[in-house]
Amino acid sequence: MKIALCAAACFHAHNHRDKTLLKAAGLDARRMSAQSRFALAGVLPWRYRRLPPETAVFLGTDFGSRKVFDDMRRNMRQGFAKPLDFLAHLHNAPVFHVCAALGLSGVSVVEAVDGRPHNWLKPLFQAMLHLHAHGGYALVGWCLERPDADGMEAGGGSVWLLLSAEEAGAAQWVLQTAEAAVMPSAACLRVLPEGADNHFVQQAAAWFSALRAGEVWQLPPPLPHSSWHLQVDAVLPFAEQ
Amino acid sequence: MTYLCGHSVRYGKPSDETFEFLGVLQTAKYYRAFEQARLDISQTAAVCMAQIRAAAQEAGWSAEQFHEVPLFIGSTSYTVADSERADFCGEPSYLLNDLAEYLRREGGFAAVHSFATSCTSAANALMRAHDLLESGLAERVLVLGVESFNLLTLMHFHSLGLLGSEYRPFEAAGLILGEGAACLALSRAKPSADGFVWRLAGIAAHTDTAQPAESSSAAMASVMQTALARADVAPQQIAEVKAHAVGSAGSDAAERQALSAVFGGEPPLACIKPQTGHTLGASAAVETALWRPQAENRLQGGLSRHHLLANFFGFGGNLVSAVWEVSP
Repeated sequence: MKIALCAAACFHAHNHRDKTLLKAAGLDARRMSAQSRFALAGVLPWRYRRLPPETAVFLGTDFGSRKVFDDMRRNMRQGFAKPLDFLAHLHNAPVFHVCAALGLSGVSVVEAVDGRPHNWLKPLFQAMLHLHAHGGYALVGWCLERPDADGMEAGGGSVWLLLSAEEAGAAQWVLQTAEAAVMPSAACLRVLPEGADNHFVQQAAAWFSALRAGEVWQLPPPLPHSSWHLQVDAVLPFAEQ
Repeated sequence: MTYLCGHSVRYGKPSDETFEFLGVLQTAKYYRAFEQARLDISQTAAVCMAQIRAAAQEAGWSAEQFHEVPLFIGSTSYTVADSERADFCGEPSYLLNDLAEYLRREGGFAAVHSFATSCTSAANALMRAHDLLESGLAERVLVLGVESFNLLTLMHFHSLGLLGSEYRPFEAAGLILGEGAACLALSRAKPSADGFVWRLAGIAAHTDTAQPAESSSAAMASVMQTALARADVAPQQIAEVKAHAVGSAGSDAAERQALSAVFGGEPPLACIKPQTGHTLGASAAVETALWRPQAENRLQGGLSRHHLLANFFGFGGNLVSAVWEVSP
């Protein structure tokens, strides 16, 4: 299996920048959870680049929106519920908004992840399987919403990769399973560090930085008795906000 | 190739649930499947393990073998019921991956994937399983759907005005939620046991971004057509459609219109939800498991066509259609 890594983007949330960025991009985020806004802010570099409509979206996260969920639970205890909260908290609300903003209509999947090495790369594995089966393009991302220390403003962010089965022949950035790969030399491998639970976006962001620096990481096996690795030979178009 | 080698299912019967909403006591119908008012994580895992064992046993897989098999879970609630239990006595905790990690740790599974795409969660798990089997990286996959009662979901469906008191698909009577669990044992190898052979001939997913709570008939027609094209099957070859038939006026009308656009009229329909309630993220596993023997009975009765189509639609514009080839 050979997949090209075409581009990457990263969004760090603080000081309500997500709302400013989304407004500037012409997106109405008033009814969205912070989780959805963070996911959406991360894919903005592709808003005007017209990805093929069948581009698939695979998102890894540990939850819906913590803030909306807490509001829902508080309302329940007081004997009422708000329909818009429920729709905002849908686990797949972020991928719905990503598809809407980018004009996509293909597969959209949310998969549960945490910071453990055998868990956080699962969406990447699913995206690769999808591209192997159906071709085309896939966005794979990780998104996290966390309350700040004061519990008021949500922090977190998202990291996204654009993968392609179409460009694998010519691309210099290639994801391969071990069956097809020529393993890089030990000198250029870095073992993926063990992350604290639920800090999967930190893992993804660290990987993003490593990719930008041209490092090659050995990835944990996606299934028992299998392995894969990332081969990186050139500089990707990166966007970081 | 993806063959359905075994299945298991547990589903509920209608009962009454009461809760207070805006100071008024409300009663809602709900299909209860489990003894406990709310399952904790160990009880949820036990429910899952029972379904996995039963499906693996029907498929002829030993316990040693099925622990090596990747497990793909679809659910909307996951362990939110456990979180509600904890809510009464202290700090709640609930993450989407908790059940997967519990099953990995306590159940000994090597790889557990959890999908969360609202009511199509198990349907997406089925599609991911199909892609994995097609890749040749795995010989077998287990697809598990599980949904258990929690007040959060019931109260919010009530707030959306979607609940009814009797399940009458395509009659705008409203929907009734339910809990349940089911497991599908899938393999690249054709099953050797006697009986009908179910092969997943094509499956497709589509995201309709018109609005999150109700998809359009055009998007529903599109996902059915893509699944048919992937299966290389013409609409005329379909013997029966397992409709999503959720019970809400808008969704059912859109599905009926989509069926008419694809099939040029209404094909023979199977509607499972009156038996089970709407089991949300588990519904693709629960309904496929229940539909299998019912459809086989009808095929044995002399139906000349041997392809079946199943629709699974959900919030967030998430639509999945699957075409099964059923051979004697």
